[in-house]
Amino acid sequence: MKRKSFLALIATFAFVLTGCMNDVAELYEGHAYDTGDFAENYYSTWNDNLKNSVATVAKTYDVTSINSFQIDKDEDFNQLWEPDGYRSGTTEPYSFLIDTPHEDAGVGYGPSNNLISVDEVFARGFLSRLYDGRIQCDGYYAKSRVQIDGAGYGALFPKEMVNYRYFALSVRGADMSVNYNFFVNVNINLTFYVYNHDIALYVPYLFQMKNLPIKTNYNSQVTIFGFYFAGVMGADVNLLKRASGMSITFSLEGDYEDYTIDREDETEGKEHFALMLYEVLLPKSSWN
Amino acid sequence: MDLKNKLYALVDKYDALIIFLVIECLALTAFSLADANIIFRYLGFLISLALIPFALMFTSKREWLSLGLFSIPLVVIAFLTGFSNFTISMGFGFVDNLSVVLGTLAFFFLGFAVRRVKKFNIDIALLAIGAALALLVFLGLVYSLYQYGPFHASLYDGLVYYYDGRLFVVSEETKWLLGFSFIEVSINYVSLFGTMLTTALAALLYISPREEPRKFFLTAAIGLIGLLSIIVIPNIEALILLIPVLLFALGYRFIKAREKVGIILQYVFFAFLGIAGIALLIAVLNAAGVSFLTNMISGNAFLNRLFNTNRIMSPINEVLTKMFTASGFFGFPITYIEGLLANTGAFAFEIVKEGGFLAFLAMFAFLLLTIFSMVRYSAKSKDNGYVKIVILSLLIATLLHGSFLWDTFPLIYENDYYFSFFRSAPYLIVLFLIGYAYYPLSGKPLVDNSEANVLLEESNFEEEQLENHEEEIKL
Repeated sequence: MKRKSFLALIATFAFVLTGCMNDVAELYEGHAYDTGDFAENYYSTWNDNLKNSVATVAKTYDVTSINSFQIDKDEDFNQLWEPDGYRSGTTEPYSFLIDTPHEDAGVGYGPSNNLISVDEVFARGFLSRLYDGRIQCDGYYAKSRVQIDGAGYGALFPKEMVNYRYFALSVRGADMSVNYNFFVNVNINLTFYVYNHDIALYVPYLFQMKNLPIKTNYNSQVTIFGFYFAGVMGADVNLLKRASGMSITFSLEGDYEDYTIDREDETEGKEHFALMLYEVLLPKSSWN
Repeated sequence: MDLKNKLYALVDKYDALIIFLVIECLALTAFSLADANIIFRYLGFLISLALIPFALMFTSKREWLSLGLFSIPLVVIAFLTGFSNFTISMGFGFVDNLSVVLGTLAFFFLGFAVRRVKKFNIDIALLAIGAALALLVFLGLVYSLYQYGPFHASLYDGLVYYYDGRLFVVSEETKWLLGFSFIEVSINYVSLFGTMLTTALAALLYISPREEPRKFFLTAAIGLIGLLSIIVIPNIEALILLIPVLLFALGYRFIKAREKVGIILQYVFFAFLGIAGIALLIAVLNAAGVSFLTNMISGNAFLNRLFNTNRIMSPINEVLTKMFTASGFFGFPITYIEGLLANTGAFAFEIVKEGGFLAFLAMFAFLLLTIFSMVRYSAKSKDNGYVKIVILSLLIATLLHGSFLWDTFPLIYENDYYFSFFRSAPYLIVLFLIGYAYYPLSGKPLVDNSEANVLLEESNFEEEQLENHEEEIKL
């Protein structure tokens, strides 16, 4: 009996001492990325593996206006393949504006298709802002956005993507000027990484989303850009199985000499332009 | 007479079963199994019905009268925390609200009545409560250590993390088993359970490790789990609130001339009670808007600071002010959102939100009566020293923690989920102990009075004889 108690005690201590300490793995000082100072709020974190253990790009896909969609209002959800744009069991499109998570699942597009609702493992960490179903600025200052410069960010998913249907990104542009309601054309490079055990490297698959008209300083309005993997990749669609990471970078398309997208650029007269990412959606995906 | 005999037979036959049920009910409630307090309240009510014969047989008329007077404020509390503007607007439901009324009265009565069961041993009941609480706290403690490591509230003080796109302060939370899963809960909420457990350590002042090693180590283990659960967070405020409990326990155990010191302490205590009462009265009248008083307070920098502009009084004033409105008199409707969100940290003021003005008055009346009853229990009861010190320490610790650190919104991720003290497991446990330790404000309880028991038995015998004689005459 004593031996059993002792073993139970040892097991408990072992459990505690080998604790994952998950809940304190990613901590920030105060209101990280929400200081109110545009220059301080860039999120530029790249996972070490996506910086140092990456193979050359395996394939590049062009996402064009023909094989993609762009959503600005409820009616635009009709562009999605059936039945993705409609509220479950109805012929009514999702609501673009209702984006408060959880409570409005089934009505709002964001809370019905966000990654946290697909798998709760996406709930933890700063990037949960991109997975929480808040697809736009809902009145609370900077509550759900991730601000990036041209070099963007790269992160591993908490699980591997097993099945996937389409990708969508809710985004707007912002600069520090006093100008309002205009568009900036942007090329977004979206990369998925699949780990190859044979070469012990992450293999990138690049999706070039070109010439996207980004609403900038537009009363906080966002646009959802997206594409169906099958529509863009065709027969290659299974290549992304077990994708375990993703990165987003961007460049400006056109003549924007007054702009810089490098957060470190201190050149006088240059205006800093940033992308405000509100949501990364992989609806109907499954993870393992 | 026949009924009395039947009652005797019933009591003799089922006392062991009833004791088992009481202990089981206490253990389940303490462990908060499945977070089903509503079930435990009804269970307590049903068992208390079975205890009525015991109470009827072993309680004198004088005790009943005293108990009746003692229970008046509790009845008011039970009804108003069960059915009020607050409970209706929160939509708790009739069955839940009724369970609060019945459960509140039942757990107090359980303690009162089970003391009258001859075979009942309070040691076992305290052990059951302690073991169940310890298991609950231990599970949360181990999982918290696994997820945060030790001392996370100090090591990561002020640091934040993101969950579901929202920002949370890591030093304000810990893990807790609620229902069948671990969730993130405020450290003050969890520390209440740790505080209750820690009071078991007071019993060690009476238990010899040589003579009663098993009892000593069991009690030590239960108490240490509680203390560790507070230290490894650490919750400094909860630890500070344990200091008066420690002082009380040491004083209770080691002050030899307790009667002499007791009188001095009694005067000090009554003086303190008087000052606190006057301060409370001023706070209430200030909130009621009595003009000469509000002008006097706001016109004096010190009084203004004391009664209006400090972090303790601000939320209390927010609540008390709304208490004097027509729709806030019987608890706050949900439209009084500011009053509901004002975190007073004290169950005695939270009752204003939940039951309104009358419940507030009844709460203070009940607290006063309980204090007097416990003073008499501590001085007169024949219970073992370690039982008395544990019960009294636990009540003092819960009173202190519940008066400063009670958290009405303890769930970190669902911060709109209101936790009522009066629907919680600690409340039921405390009521049971108050009921058990209840001592009439004058005279002795029948069960503590061996002479009275003999007299009772004799008078029963005489009555029996008389009745038999009458029956013979009738025949």
